[in-house]
Amino acid sequence: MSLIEIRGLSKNYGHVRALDYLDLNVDGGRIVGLAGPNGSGKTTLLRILGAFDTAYSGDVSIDGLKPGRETRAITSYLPEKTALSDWMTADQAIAVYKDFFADFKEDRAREMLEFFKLEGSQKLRQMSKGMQEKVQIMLVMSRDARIYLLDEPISGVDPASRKSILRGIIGQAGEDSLVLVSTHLISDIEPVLDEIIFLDFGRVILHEQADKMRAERGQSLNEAFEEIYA
Amino acid sequence: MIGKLYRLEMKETGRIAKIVYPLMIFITIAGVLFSLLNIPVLASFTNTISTLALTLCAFYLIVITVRNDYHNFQGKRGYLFRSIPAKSSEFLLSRLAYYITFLWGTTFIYIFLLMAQIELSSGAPIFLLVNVFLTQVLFASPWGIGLVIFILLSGLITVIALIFAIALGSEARFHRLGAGGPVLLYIIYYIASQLLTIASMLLIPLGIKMDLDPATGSFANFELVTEGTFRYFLDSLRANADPDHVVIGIGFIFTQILLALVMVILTYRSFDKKFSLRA
Repeated sequence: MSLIEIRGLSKNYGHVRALDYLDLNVDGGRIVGLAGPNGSGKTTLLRILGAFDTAYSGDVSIDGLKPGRETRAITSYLPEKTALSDWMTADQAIAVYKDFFADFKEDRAREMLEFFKLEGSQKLRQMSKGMQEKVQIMLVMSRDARIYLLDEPISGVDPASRKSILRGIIGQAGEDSLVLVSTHLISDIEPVLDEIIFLDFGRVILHEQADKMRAERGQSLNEAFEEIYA
Repeated sequence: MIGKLYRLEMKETGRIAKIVYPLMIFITIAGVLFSLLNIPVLASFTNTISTLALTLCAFYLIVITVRNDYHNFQGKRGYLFRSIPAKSSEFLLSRLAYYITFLWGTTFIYIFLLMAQIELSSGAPIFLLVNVFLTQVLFASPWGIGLVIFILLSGLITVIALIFAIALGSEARFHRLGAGGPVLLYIIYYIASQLLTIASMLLIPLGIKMDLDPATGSFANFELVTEGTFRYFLDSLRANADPDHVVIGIGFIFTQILLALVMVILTYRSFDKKFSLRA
């Protein structure tokens, strides 16, 4: 049984079909890229997996369970927008996570804070967008989760910060954990990916091992992305 | 877990309350000081202004209380709150405690400051009168205690209705209405609740019969009767109702409790099953 199993998943926003009978199996212990143009269904899929949207049709299973309270305990979700109030400091955010998530490792959070060169006493509103993103990544990756769902973790930040964020992500995920990262910045994330999933119009149009795909197509994932969505 | 959730939800509104509550006290003191100057026009003007400002502060905090709860569970902060592996019942109880703290707290502080302002600026013994009313009228009879319990129950039902409106009004089917979804649900609840109250008062055979005391001109001799207001209502329509003996149906207490239970169940079911975060 795969860690994530999805059968016939559909989701509509009014008359707009965001996911269209999507089928997908993803195993643990790897970093998987979820790529596609805007509106292809990446965020919707991650929100359903993160149990932030339960109004869908089809079957979704995370470690054998329907997304909900039980799966929240093993899933760490990074939203596209920051979920924290801007008056909070990084230290206060750490305290909140420590309070609510049994798998939260404060030592790891402190290490990441240092790695990202962030001040614990600094308020989020005083931070740049890249710094805020790093705080969110620090919190999400400091949990010992089975699944990390990261929605566009490097969009809107400068290239230097992207590399630092990616190093932070790779360094913290456990060996058996699944990291599912949505992005349209394939070239930045390509070196760390084990698998790639291409979505379009709410369907999986390609799901392949990254190395295999490079070998078979003779092109990088970014080149394949550009060719497929041209 | 309930205590932790309660504290987390309190943080956001608490930051604003720390400013608004002292501001309300400042407004009261300023209003009283101006009226003590005994300048006729200025005194009445500042009294009006300070009462209005006090009311606006209380109203603002009540709106903020509801808005923050909405943002915690439907806005971007929902990605934090909804990722917490707590039970739906724990979320609901912590939200109830949060609303009771701020809605009841703000109402209490507002009434207290308003009374203080009237007493200090006009010299009218408001606190003494309220004390007499509470000790010698309200808490002096089982009917008065029953009324207090009913007022508290009504406050609780209002809080339940707010959470119900936010939860069901934010379901996927209402997404196109935005924040109008919860508002629409609350209006529907309010109309349904009023209609149910009227129907229950008329039709459920349980009421309080009150006899008019001709000497004082007020009602006395309260008696529980197995009768609703329907017959009295019909008699009133035919213009042959006895004005000295009035029956007020109280069956609505049971239907309101029933309605609150239905809202709790629907909210509980909606919380995990038909939910779609809007942000």
